[in-house]
Amino acid sequence: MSSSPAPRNNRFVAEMLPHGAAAYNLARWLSRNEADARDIVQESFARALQYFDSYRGGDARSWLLRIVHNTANTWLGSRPPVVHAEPDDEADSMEPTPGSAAVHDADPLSAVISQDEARVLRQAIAQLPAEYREVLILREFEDLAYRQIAAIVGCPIGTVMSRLARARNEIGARLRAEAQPS
Amino acid sequence: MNHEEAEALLEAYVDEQLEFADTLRVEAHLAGCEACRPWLHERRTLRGRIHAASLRYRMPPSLAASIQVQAATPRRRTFELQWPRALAAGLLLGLTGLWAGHLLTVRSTAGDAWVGAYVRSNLSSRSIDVLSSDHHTVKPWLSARLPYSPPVPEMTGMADTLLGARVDYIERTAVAALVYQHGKHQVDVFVWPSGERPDPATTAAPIAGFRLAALQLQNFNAVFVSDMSAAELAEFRDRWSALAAAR
Repeated sequence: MSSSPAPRNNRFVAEMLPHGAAAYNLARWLSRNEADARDIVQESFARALQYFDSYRGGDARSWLLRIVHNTANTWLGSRPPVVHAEPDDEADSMEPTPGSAAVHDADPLSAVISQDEARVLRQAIAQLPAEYREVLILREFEDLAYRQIAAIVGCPIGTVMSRLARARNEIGARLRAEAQPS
Repeated sequence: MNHEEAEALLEAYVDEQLEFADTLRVEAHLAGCEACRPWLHERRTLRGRIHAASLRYRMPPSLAASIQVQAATPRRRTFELQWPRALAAGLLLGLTGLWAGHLLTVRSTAGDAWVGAYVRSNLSSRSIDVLSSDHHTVKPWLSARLPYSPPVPEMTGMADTLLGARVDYIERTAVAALVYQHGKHQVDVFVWPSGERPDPATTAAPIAGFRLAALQLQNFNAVFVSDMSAAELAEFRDRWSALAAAR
């Protein structure tokens, strides 16, 4: 109690805040809506701060993401799944990076194509079962190793691999179905 | 390497998660396999599309700001769980548990205490204080908090994973608790130096649905607690024992 809180907080800010983007992206994909994602991230950081004394250096992002995983499970497990009235009303929070629509201002046609591509992919991923979606997000967007994902999700490495395989198979099937003129 | 063996490793090959030797073996197979190459091409194309579409969600600036404030604010009283307090709270919880155990069964065996620790840790969603599958992280963390340094086998296999560890407080002594994942089950392994407390006794009957297994090594004793079957737990104990003894 007598220890000064400032250095602890400074260390927390320096170690954990840089991973806020990863935490939000995971929470957002797990909850599939912005309001829950906000609450999960806020609660995750509160827990992370509370347990920060047990963090012994090392992989800060995995440590934080495991807390996000647990928090999301508690948070989302206690309520019915959200019904998406307007699933497309969320492009505002997508990151504009090379290859995305925002870069193609000069070329309206390719902008439309890449927007459509992003919409199809986003829906295909959003429709995956949560366990598959989670490992896919951690692998493709955080570039984490199977071993790290296993520790975050709390499953064996072999399970990470099989979930990833199923996630990709399902996305591939949906994309093929989308490409067929119905 | 035949086609089935290669197929089982292809996903990990795409993700560059194979060890060098396996990578070479898969590549040798790919060179001559007409079935695997199109699959591989399709997989890589799919990953490329996912990456190119940049589907990451960006944190709303207002949320980033509020986390910054939250993180920079000195702890509220409820967050002041430092060591003396944590120990006191743990002791109180432990005593309450033992007392409740007495009320229910009249006879409180040592097994109850281990199962109690396992259940409490799962209830509090705080089963792990140091989260790492690397014994180079877990072992120093434990030896910094305990008067001994327990064996910490990593058990890196497809079925068993070291998740991390915590320090538990049982029968008035701190004890190392290693946490493993086996399938969907969690296994807690409590390890202490021989002679520090009574040698572990195996009880064949489950306690409140949980199984215990005991182990005596040269310098350490251990108790395994899990919700898997007695046979599975015994197998886990034997794998753990072989690795711990090999060090």
